[in-house]
Amino acid sequence: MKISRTYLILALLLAGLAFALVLLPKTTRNKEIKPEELMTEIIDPARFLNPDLIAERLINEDPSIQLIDVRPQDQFVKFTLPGAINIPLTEISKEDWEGELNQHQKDIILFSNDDLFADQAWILCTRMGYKNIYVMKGGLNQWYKNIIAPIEPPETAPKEEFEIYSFRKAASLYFSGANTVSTTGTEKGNIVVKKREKKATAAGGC
Amino acid sequence: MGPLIPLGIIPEQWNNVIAVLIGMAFGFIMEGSGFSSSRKIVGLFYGYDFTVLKVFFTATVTAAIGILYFSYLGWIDFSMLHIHPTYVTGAIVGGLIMGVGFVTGGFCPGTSFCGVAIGKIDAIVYTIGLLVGIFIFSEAFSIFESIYNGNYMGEITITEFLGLSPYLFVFFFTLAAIAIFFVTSIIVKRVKEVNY
Repeated sequence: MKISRTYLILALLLAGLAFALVLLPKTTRNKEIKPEELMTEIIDPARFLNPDLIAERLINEDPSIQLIDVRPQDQFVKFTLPGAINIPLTEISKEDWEGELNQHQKDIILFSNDDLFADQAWILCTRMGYKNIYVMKGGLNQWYKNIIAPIEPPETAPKEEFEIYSFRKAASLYFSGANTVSTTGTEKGNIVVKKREKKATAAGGC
Repeated sequence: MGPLIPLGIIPEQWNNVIAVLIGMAFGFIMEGSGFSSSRKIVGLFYGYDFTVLKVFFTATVTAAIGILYFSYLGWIDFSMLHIHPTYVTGAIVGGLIMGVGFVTGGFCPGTSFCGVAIGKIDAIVYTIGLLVGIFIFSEAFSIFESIYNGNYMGEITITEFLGLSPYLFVFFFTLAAIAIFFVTSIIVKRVKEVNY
C-alpha cells in the first residue's frame, strides 16, 4: 500500500526528534549556582554587616530587614534580637524555609553567637542562589560588646569614636531598657560653667 | 525561564484571560478537525474513523517531546509543572463510565461544547445530561467519596512509577504512536467506507 509522502516525512521527523532526546548527553541541572560564582561571592566581604549598622536599622524600624537566628532553638528561646526568627543551621536547606529565604524584597541578616555558623548558613543560602543575604559580623558576641556593653574610648581617641560610642550608649538603652549605669555624670559634674564676662562696650570715642 | 505564570513573568491576573484564549483556540481546532460530529468521534469505537486517536496521540507526543527539549535547554523548570494526582480507583471507574458515555452519546465533555457552539441538537441534549450528572455526583458525593479518593498515589508520572528514563519512554511512545497511525490507516482503507 502507498503511504503519502508528507505523512512519511512528518513521521520520520517526529521519530528523529524523539530519538535525538535519547542520544542527548545527560546533564543534571542544579538549582544551585556554579562553584566559580560561589567562590567569587565567598571572597567578597560585603556580606558582613557591622552590628552598629544593624542596630541603627532596627532602631529606625526599617521594614526591609529580616533578622534570622541560626542558633539551635533552645538558645533562641533564651535570648534573641528583636524581630528575629529562628531557622537553625541544620534546617536551613529545608524546603519549608525557602519562602522565607528566597525573596527579593528584604535584606536577610543571619546571626549566631559568633559569625561562624551564620557564615555557614550564608554559604548554604548563596549556593542555592538566594539573594540579599548578609551576616552579622562577630555575631551576638560582638553585638554584646558593641551595643549592650559598649566600652568608652580613651580620651585620645578621635572624635568619630566618641560619636560611635554615644550612639552605642543610646542603642544600649534602646535594646536593654533603662538599666545602664551612667558613670559619666559624676566625673564631669564638677565642671563649673563660667559665665563669659560681657565685653566692655567701646566707650566714648573720638 | 518557564513556567511563565508561576515565575511571575506573566502576571497572575492574566491567568484566566490566557486560559480563555487557549480554550477558544482549542475549541476552534477541535471544530476544525471535525470533532463536533458525534459520528466522527464514535468512528474510533466502530473502526471506520481514527481522527480522534490521531489528533490526541499527535498532541501528546508533540507536547511530551517539546517539554523534554524545553527542560533540557533550561527554558522550563520541570519540577514546577502541575502533575495531576493519580487516584487509581477513580480513574478506572471514571474511565469506564466515560467510555460508555463516549460511545453512546458520541461526545466527550470538550467536544460536546464544541457541538453546542455550532448548534447541534444531540450535543445540547448531551450537555444537559452532563450537567445533570455533575449535579447528582455533587449532591451524592458522600456515597462516592471512597471511590473518588480510592488508591491515591500522589502526583506521580508513569516514568517515576516504572523507574524508566523519560527520554527513552517518550521515544518508544513516539514509535508506538507512529505504528498505531500506520495500522489505523490500513484499517480505515479495509473497512467499508462510511458516509456521514
